[in-house]
Amino acid sequence: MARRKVLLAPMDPVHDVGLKLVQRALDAAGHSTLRLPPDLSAEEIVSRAIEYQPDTVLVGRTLGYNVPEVLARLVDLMEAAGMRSRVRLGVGGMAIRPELAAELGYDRGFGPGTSPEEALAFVEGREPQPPAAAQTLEKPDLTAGYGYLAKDREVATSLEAIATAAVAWGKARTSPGVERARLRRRLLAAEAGAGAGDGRVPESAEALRRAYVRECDPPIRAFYEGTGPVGKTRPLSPDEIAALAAAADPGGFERRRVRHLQTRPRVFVQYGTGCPVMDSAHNRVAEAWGADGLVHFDPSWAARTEGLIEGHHSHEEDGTLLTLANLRSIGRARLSGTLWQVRAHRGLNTPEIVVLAAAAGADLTKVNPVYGSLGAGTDPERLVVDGVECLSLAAAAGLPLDVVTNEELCGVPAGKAFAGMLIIAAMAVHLGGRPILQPLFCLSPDVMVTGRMDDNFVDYNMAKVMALRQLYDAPIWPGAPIGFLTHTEDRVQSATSTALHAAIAVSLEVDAITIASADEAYSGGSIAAASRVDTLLATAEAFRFLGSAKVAPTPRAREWADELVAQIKDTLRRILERPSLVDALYAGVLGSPADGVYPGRAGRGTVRLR
Amino acid sequence: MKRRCLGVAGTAKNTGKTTTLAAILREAAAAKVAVGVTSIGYDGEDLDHITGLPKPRLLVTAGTLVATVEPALAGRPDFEVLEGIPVRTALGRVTLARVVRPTRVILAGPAGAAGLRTVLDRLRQNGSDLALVDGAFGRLAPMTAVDGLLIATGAARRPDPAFLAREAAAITRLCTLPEMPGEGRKDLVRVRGPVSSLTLPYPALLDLHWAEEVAGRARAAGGFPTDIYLPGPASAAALERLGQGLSGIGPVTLVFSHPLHLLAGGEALAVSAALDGLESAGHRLAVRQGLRLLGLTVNPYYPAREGAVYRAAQLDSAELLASVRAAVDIPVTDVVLEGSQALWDRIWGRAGEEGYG
Repeated sequence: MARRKVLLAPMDPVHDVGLKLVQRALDAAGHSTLRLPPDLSAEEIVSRAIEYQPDTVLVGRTLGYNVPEVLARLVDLMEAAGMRSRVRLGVGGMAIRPELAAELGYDRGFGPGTSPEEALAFVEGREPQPPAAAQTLEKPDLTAGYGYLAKDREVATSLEAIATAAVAWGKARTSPGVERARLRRRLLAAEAGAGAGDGRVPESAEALRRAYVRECDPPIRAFYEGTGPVGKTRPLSPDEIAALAAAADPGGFERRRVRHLQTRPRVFVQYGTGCPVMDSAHNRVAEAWGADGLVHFDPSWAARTEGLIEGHHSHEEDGTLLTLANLRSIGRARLSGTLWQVRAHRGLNTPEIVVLAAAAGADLTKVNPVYGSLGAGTDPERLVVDGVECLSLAAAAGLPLDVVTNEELCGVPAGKAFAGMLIIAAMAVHLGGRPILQPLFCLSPDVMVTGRMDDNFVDYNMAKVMALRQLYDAPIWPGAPIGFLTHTEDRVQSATSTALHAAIAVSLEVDAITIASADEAYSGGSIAAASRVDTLLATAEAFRFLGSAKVAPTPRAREWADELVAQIKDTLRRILERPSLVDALYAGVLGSPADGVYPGRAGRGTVRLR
Repeated sequence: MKRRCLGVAGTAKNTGKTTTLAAILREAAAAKVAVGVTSIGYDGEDLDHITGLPKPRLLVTAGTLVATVEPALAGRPDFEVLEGIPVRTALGRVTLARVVRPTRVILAGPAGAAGLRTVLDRLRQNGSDLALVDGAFGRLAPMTAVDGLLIATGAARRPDPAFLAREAAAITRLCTLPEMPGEGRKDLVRVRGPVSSLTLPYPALLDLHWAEEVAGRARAAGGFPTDIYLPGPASAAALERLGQGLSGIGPVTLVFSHPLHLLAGGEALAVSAALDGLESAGHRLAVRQGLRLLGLTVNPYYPAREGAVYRAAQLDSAELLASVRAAVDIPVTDVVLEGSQALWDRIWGRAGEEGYG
């Protein structure tokens, strides 16, 4: 590479940091540079250029009133002085865009976020090298390195007893949800032209579908029988389906980094606009701003209806319909390194959702019949039976799952919610699965009543992770989203709160976090893509701010962690006093009406013995 | 038929370059003239990327040749790409295309005169009888590559009709300096006396120091130079200093390279005033390469800044037109107020006439 002479001209009265960074890169690359004092006139810069005879002139300027005219005048003077054809001109600044650079007459514009490498490449007349780290798209295993052993003898004994009994109890029973999941597996195999994995000849897809439909509620039956669409849905048009296909992983996609020096936590965002095409666009925005993972949200009404429809469908309200076609298209549209979770934690279709998630290529699922029955309206008996099937299916498909504890948002104290979470995690491990613990970083009703966050939001959130680590060796993924109930309608406040909770998470070195968009709590409907960028940028800023430093809690965090451990043990003891986990759920041991939760009713009376 | 290259430059952004160009494109289409179009900047977007206000659209008819950057043509079936041109811009390489059906165009082309000459050659070679060059901001210097120029001025330059009239007079005066053909290199000042001549390495920009240097060398060379050739821009202050340095020396002919280089050197009013001083001292003024200034267009519209935002505002159209028209002796038009027929006649000629050239 020939050594180039570069004149750097900061036309701003004060700011020339950008040009200093560029100069450092140019000097390191062996080029000859001369940086002028700031705030020279266009004539003075041209005079100095005439003396120095550079190959390239790089101008830095923050845009302000009349500044474009000044920048254009410099170009005109260079032209009139006969220098323009042999000197390349670049301009950089916060408001510079390629279009403005072209209009002003520069050969290249360098806007915000420009790396010194880009300026170096311009000087050397080549394309910039993409930053290697930003392009790495490895898909991590969040569960790697964890042994799933209870670290406390009493807790280990309790979990083993409760989990073993609950799995046995569930396996002895079945439900329409379990039966449909099994029919769906056979149906997928039949449609793929394969047997059910046991060497038999393929079954009739039509016969299997008829059997499936018999297990569905009337609106879903009407869909399959062609007598009516499901409310608030419509099939996607051919154009929309084509758009989904065109959104497939473009490869070589340039994305920002959300983490700074840290390898953890992986950052997940939630989507579910109702429209798979819109979801794909939102997800690409999130990926571009550094999201590591995506979490699929489905409509809440679908969870209260037995059966799922098929095909590409849009939903006119929040929540994107869980169909294999929708999931496959959304899944294919993600970048190759992006983790993808399809939730199966509540409702009447959870086992089938795990089947679809696995068939669509999801990386993770979400299961917790304790939350799903106490905080999300599904009957405890039904959801435990379905939950055991979910855990079995997830283990067979190799899908790690998080165990969410959102019943805290209804008022259940964290200690009780954590006991339920540890039981489900133990059941998952019993069935060969890989669970991930999901405590909430939230301003929960219980915390408000007890005043644990009157002083700060750090201690109690950290205490939760400290308590879980004291008891169980498993990955931890605070959510969902972090900062729940701390967000307001103010996007700056919401993004800041998310970032500060992310700072706690990175200090704790947890494995993943889920973040909300800055308008998620108060959007009243659709979420703006820009609001996704708000929280991703804010989180990245928090990670950059901390680096390898950490947020330190006060001594209260240790005290509260011990208190949580005691609550968890106490709850496990009380469950052991009941005939079964399901009985404990109805009896309010894991959350009672006094706490703010009631056993759900959807699907009640549908469980039968095998 | 002579092939022509017409530039539409402006005294500032938003002075009506695009509106004037769009009017000429309409007239050329009606007259079925083979037109090619390019830009020395960037134009054709919906909203101005500085003020955020709507911009006039550039519509082109089938058969028009367009030289713009590759990204502006990507995925546009209304253009047939003909060839790449070895000229790069901040938005990519310039590409030549033919319009297949009437459409909008985003123009982004060569930033400098050298690149513009290359692009104009390609437009001519591909059959363009009238090549139009859209200006950018108040940038004038690249327009040395065209053979005819329209200058757009208006309230966006300054919302003051009296000032605009005075400045229009100064611009016109600089653009109509007499032509004195001869040899001249960009990097040499030549001081030619009755018996000998002297050449100096030229700074390409006549600043105060070099104004004294040139005058001093002229005196040291034996005085009585007959002409001094200055091949680049000169600021008003430098011209005044040169005038002071030449006092006591007999009348000299000062030959500048191009009127647009003089305009690039500083504010037209100040440069014109400095030239007045030189003329009143008995010196003569000329340019090595003349400019065919076909006229001025005026635009009463301007973006008025209110805090961080802009709103559209307007001067009285008739008053502005009358003020500028009274100040100059070249045609002045408001194409929105008066239409563009007269302007087109000056460019292309009426039936039986040839227009400029």
